[in-house]
Amino acid sequence: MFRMILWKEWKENLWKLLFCGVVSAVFTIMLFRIRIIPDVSNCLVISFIQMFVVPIVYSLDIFSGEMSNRTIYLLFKIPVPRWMIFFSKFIVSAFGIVVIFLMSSILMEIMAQGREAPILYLSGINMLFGAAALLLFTWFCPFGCQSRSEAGSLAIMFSVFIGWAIVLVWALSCNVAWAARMVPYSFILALDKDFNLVEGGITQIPLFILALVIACYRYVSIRRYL
Amino acid sequence: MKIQAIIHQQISQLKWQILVCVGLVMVLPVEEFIVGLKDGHGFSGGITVFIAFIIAPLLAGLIACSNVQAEMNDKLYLFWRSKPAGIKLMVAIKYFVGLAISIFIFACPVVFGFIVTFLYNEKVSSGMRMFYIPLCFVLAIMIYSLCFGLNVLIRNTARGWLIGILLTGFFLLLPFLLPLNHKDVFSVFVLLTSRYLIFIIIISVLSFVLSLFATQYDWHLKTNLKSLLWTIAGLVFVLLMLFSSQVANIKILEEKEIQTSFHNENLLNYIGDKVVYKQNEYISTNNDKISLSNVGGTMGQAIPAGLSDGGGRYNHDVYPHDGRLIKQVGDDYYCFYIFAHGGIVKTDRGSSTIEYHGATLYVSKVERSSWVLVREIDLSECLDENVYNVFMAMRIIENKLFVFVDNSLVTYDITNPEDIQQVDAKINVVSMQRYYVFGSAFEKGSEIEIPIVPAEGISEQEKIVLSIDRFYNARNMYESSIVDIFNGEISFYGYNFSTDCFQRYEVMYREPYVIKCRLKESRQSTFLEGLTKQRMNKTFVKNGKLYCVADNTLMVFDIHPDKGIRKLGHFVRLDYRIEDMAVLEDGNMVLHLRWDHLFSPANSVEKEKNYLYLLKGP
Repeated sequence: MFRMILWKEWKENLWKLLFCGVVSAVFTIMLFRIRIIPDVSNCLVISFIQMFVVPIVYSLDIFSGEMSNRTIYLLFKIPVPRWMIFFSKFIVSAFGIVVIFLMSSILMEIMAQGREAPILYLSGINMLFGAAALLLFTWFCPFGCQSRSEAGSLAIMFSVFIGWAIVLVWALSCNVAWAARMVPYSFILALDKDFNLVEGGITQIPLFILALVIACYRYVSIRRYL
Repeated sequence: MKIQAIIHQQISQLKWQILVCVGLVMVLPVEEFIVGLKDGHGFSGGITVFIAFIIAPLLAGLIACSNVQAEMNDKLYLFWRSKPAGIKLMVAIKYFVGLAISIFIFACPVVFGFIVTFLYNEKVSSGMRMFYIPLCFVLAIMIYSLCFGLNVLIRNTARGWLIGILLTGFFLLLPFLLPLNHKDVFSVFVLLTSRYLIFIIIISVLSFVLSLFATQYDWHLKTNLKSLLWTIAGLVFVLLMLFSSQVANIKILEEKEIQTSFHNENLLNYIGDKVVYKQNEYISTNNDKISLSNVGGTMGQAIPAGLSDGGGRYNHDVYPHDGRLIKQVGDDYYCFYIFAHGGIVKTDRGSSTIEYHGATLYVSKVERSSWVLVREIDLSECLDENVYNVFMAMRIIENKLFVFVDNSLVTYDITNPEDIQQVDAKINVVSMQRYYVFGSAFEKGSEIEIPIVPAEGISEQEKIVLSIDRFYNARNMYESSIVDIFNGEISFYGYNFSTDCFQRYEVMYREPYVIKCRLKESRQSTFLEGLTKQRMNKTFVKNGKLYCVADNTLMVFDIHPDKGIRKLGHFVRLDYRIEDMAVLEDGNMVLHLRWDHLFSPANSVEKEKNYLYLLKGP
């Protein structure tokens, strides 16, 4: 049954993968061909935009779509535990985000051909941004899983972006290292040699699980549609 | 129809939105005012501008959406459409009431700013009065109109507002990016002039007209998330395409990495019409590939080792500074350069400077793959006493070498460079008075005079060209000219760093000792050109085209007198430095670029690379 739900989510969200994939590919090819700015800057610009746009595209209707289309009544009547429904949505979105970043990082390496930056350097940057994007999307889930409209989801996603940005600015300005490591954006700080990527990763894993557990609990406990 | 009643209904309907918006736009100015009053350091007008520029236009869009959406829910919409009322008039009233409210919201911080500034006895800057506030005002009208029109059409508040804001951004950028008039945006739209504002107003009016028709004929554009996202991506793509077609429209035919230890030196020189690389290899292009063929031995440095360190003297200056003036006679290659030397003296202010005592013309020849000095001619008589900045320039015209040192001109016959003969000498008679045309804000039609050089043995036209280049292209006149001759009309071109313009002066007529010229055309740099261009290192004219080279930008202009100065091509590499460039016989261009690790990762293996680029002539 889980496979069927997974398949349903995959079919419903395939256009997001196509959209983000095509747009990322087109802009990567274009910017790396015209080369007005250096390859590393191109990579940073593309990755930075991807980090915000890809989670937004996935978050817009992943949960709220079922409610605004009123299909949630049908979905909740299927004899499947609700946590499976939640995880099918999350897994499909997370897979899509990973594939998009993986594809764009490979494309960047192909386009740059190591002419200005060492091989795998650009893809490394892009994947760090990808990890941040995945974490941001994960943090959207606890707050957005009960959202009823696209506008609500959008507002929640922006709140997550801004909220973590405020935490990051505070942590960096007050030199609170442990707080800086908690922020999803901290993966980008790994570009700086002073930041320990392993420590950051270790801090992020429990937070990632915590966010998922809370999101799952909130999704399971939706009452108003029963 | 009772217009007053409708207006009253509109205002009542939007009263909460008005209060919230006024509250939002007034928070910062009031806070600034209170803090300023408490600390006694006045009121910062920047706050007002910030509010007016960023928040007020966005709120104008919000007012538009609220204004329309109140009547657009399914039941209410059917109700008022069924009434025997003039739909167009009603929508027009709604539009103008909402617009008046938006302007009121926009005006709140602006009027508050003016009053408080007046109370503090401060002045509102002219830039704010003349530019920022009017532009914000028109911008607010544009956003309001677009959001209004789109809401009538889409009937979804959030999407209508989002698309309205995006379209505003699109239309604001569009004039800067449109490939009008053969890749040149500037010919049609001029920055910050009434034309640009008219463009904004036209969009607003069109949007209003659209809303009228949409209501009358009940047009309803159904949107979904998918189509919305694809549209946004499409708009961004179009903008990027237009941007790249404006600033990256010269095709790169080949990129070839080269090994060189030379720094800040012009590696591309001309021998006749041919371009040579590092003075020892001809550059030729077959099938759009760069190929290098040996000139006939490795020339190396053109200045003999004994002189390059100053020849035992303390200080010196060499002309040409970077490049080389090379002439081929049979199978032999000769290089000409002037060497001025002097000593360090103390000025009245106590600082050190160089006082030039003498100058020498050297002629070198390639022998057994190295330069050997073959002639040395003293030019010290050309120098006055107490010369601190020595002026030097040279040009070969046919078999004559014209050497300028300060206010003297010496002409040599170089038919046999080893036996160079002085033909003429005009010592201390060449006027040095000139107008700084490319550093002054002359108006169109302004007339200037250029002293004519008393050169002998060349045509009148060549004399005029020499006179112009001597003043305005002295550094590069040994290899290039800024003068163009078209149908007997002589013009010269340059970049005016004072006004940020590309200018054309035309020669009107010649008097016995001066040439009368007039500023004929002035082309302002565009927004995009200003973004990438830092300072112009080299400007020259060749085959009816003007080439302008900045640190990392190359621009090529068509300078046909009938069509004006039109941009043909633009090449930018922000992390590269254009060290030198040369135009090939077929119109293609060769660039020597140096890439350094300024923007590169700290662990990059390569710290610096040199490239030869072959670019297609636009």
